[in-house]
Amino acid sequence: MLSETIEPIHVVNRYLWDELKKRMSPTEITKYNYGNIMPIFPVNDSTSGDAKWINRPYFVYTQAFRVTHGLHVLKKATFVYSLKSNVNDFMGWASALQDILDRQDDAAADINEYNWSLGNGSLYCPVIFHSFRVYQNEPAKPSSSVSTPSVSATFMVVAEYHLV
Amino acid sequence: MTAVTFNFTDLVTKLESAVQYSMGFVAAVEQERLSFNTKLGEVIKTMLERYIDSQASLSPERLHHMYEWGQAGDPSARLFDFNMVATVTHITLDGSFRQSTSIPPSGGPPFENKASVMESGASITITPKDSGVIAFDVDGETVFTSSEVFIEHPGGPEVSGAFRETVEGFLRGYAKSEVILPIFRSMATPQEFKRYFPSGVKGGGYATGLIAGREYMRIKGGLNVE
Repeated sequence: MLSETIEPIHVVNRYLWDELKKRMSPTEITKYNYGNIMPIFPVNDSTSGDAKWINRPYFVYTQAFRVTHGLHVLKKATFVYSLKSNVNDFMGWASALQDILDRQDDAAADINEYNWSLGNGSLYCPVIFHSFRVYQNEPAKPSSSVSTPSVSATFMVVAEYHLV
Repeated sequence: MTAVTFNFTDLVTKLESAVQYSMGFVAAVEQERLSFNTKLGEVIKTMLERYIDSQASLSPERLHHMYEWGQAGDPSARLFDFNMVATVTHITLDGSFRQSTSIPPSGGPPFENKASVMESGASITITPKDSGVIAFDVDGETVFTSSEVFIEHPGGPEVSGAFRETVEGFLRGYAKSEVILPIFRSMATPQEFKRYFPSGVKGGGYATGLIAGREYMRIKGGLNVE
């Protein structure tokens, strides 16, 4: 039997997707019929590269690196998210990502609460987040990797946390 | 009548120790500047390389030219190097391109200057060798021609300047805000000077100042990139 380890990033992704659904107008989400699929894929996930995603907004992510401070328990992980979207939806999704995660300790508190709610009284993932910051180092770029006009942009999400 | 006496000898000794302590602190800061900048430069270089790898994995259409064919994001297939040079006043990261040694997907000899040519956005003309033909893919179909082939954007329109933009964006955005400024902010108040001052004045003098200065110049808590 395969078992999957729940990593801190999995909690962040589930929170991000739930918040995206809440913050964006229902038609912005339902028009693409995501069904039960969370359109936030780890890099090289085969489902993210499938042609069926053309024109639908989605994220691909990976962990770039993690910074540790000597003997301190606090870890600082930097995740990189690439948003790939059609031109019309791009701004809404990009703004939502930043609104949801770029709130330092407020975002951490909300995600900690979400982590408790997923675990039904215990932590779904044994992690306590302290802070989140988001950087967009470069402007969005038009992409020619698909046949319809699309845009992509990369965001660095810095998460400070400790494992419990 | 009450007599008040002052022990100036003790006062002078303490003042001398305080001066010696301060001189020791300043000397240690001067001595440690190079190793501080070297450590900081190495950390930033490692972060930058990892960031480029992750960017290339997520958006290969922009950065595939900086890796061997079909291996975008693989650290062992990088076609770039950064040489970090630290002095007591500067940290310099010099980028350079490696030559590609892998066979292109369409076959033929390695496109040695793939990284530099595609990054520069230069167009290329491919001429068949020895009156032979050139084979290349067009929308998934293999096409053969005996004529010269002009390629306006080798590697695709996104690659031109993408490496430079990625590096500059990282250094101006993330590295500045997340690495450099926090370290400098933590150094704005030299807590170590205050902490060691009493023992410095009590006789520790120059040697205690050196210890305090070295601790001040250590990146707080260390900084390791995994």
